Amino acid sequence: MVTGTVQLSDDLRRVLGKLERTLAKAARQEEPGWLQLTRGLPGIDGDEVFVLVLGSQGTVVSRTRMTGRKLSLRDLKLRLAGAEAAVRRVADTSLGDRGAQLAGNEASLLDSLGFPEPDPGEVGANERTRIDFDLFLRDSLTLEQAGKRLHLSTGRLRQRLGPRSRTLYGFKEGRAWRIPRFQLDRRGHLVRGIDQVVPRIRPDAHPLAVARWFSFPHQDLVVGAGEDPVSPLAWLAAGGNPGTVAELAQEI
Amino acid sequence: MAKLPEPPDLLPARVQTAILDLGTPLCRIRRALVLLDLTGTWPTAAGASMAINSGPRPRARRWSQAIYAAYPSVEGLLYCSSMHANQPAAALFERAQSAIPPAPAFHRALADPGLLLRLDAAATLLGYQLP
Repeated sequence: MVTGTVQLSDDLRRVLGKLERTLAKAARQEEPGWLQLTRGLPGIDGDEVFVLVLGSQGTVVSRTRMTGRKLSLRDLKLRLAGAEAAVRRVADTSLGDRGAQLAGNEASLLDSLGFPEPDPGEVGANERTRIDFDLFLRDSLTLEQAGKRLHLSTGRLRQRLGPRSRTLYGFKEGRAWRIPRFQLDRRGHLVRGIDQVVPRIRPDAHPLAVARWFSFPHQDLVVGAGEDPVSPLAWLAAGGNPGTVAELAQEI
Repeated sequence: MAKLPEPPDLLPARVQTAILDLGTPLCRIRRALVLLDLTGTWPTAAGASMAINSGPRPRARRWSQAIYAAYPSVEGLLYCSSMHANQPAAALFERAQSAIPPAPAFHRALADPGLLLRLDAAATLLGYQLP
C-alpha cells in the first residue's frame, strides 16, 4: 500500500467539500449518499472507479480501471456493496482463526520454497473471494426473476435446476435457488447450447469457479489463424460446438 | 504429423542440470532424467513451433504421444510453463518412475488447515480466488 500526503488542487478541495457534506448526510440518513458532480471528478476517467473507506483508524483509497467500458451507476453501487460486505462480513472471522500450525520443519521447508504465510495486515485471496461471492450472490437472479426473464414457470425452472435433468446452472443460498446471470445473453435469453454444458459441471463445483470458467479465455477453445483463445461463453455465443465445451466442463 | 527429426537437444548432462535447477526439496529425483528439451529450437526443427508449449492441449498431447513413440529413451518433456511466466517445467512419462522417490518430503492435502494461510498468500500473488 502506498501512503503519503498529497497537495490538493482547488478543484479537488471543492470536490472534497461536497463529499464531506454528502458524508454528513449519509451519516444522518444511514443510507448510501449520492453525489453528482456536474463536471465529474478531476483526473478520473470514465472507466475508473475510486473507493474510499473512512474509519477512525484513517482512510484507504483504491483505484480500479474497468478496461474498455464506461462505468454505470449500477457498477458504482456494486462497488459500494463490495465495500460494505468487506466491512460487515469479512471482518467477522479471519483466515488465521481457521488455519492450523504446521510442524516447524514443514513450515521452514515451505518458507524456503517461496511459499510463505501471508502478511496479516493485507487483504488476502480468501477475503477478496468472500467479497466477490457476496457481490455474485446479489447479482444472481432469484427463481422468480429468472422465470420472468426466461418466460418459464418457477416449477419448470426447478426441474431444469434439479439433478435429474439439469440444463440450467444454479446454486442454493440457504434454501433458495440463485441463478447466475452469466448464462443469459444481452437480450436476456439463455446462451445458446449452455443446456448441453451444464449437465457436465460437477454438482459441488463452487459457483464462483463455474462463473470464472465460463467467462475467461480457455486454452483449448481457439479461433482464427492466430489461435486466439476465447471464453466458453464467447465460443457458444459465436456458434461453436457446445459438445466441445461440454467435454471441457468436466474439469471445473 | 511429419516424421520426427533426430532430437538435437538430447543432452542428458545439460538436461540434468535443468532438472536440478527445477528440483525442490519437496521431491528430489533420484537420478538424472533424459528429457526432450522443448524450450529451445527443437519444436521448430520438428515442424511444430513454441505453440506446442502453450496452445490447445489436444495438440500438445498428440505431439507428446508421437515423441514417446519415436524416442524410447526419452523419459519426459522439458517445456515452458504458460502458467508460470514461461519458466521451465517438466512432464514425465512413466519411464521416469524409477527416478521418483517413494514419498515426497512434504505431503498434505490442499484442504489441510495447515496450508490455508500459505494457499491464501499464493492465491493472492496469482490473482486466484480462494473460496
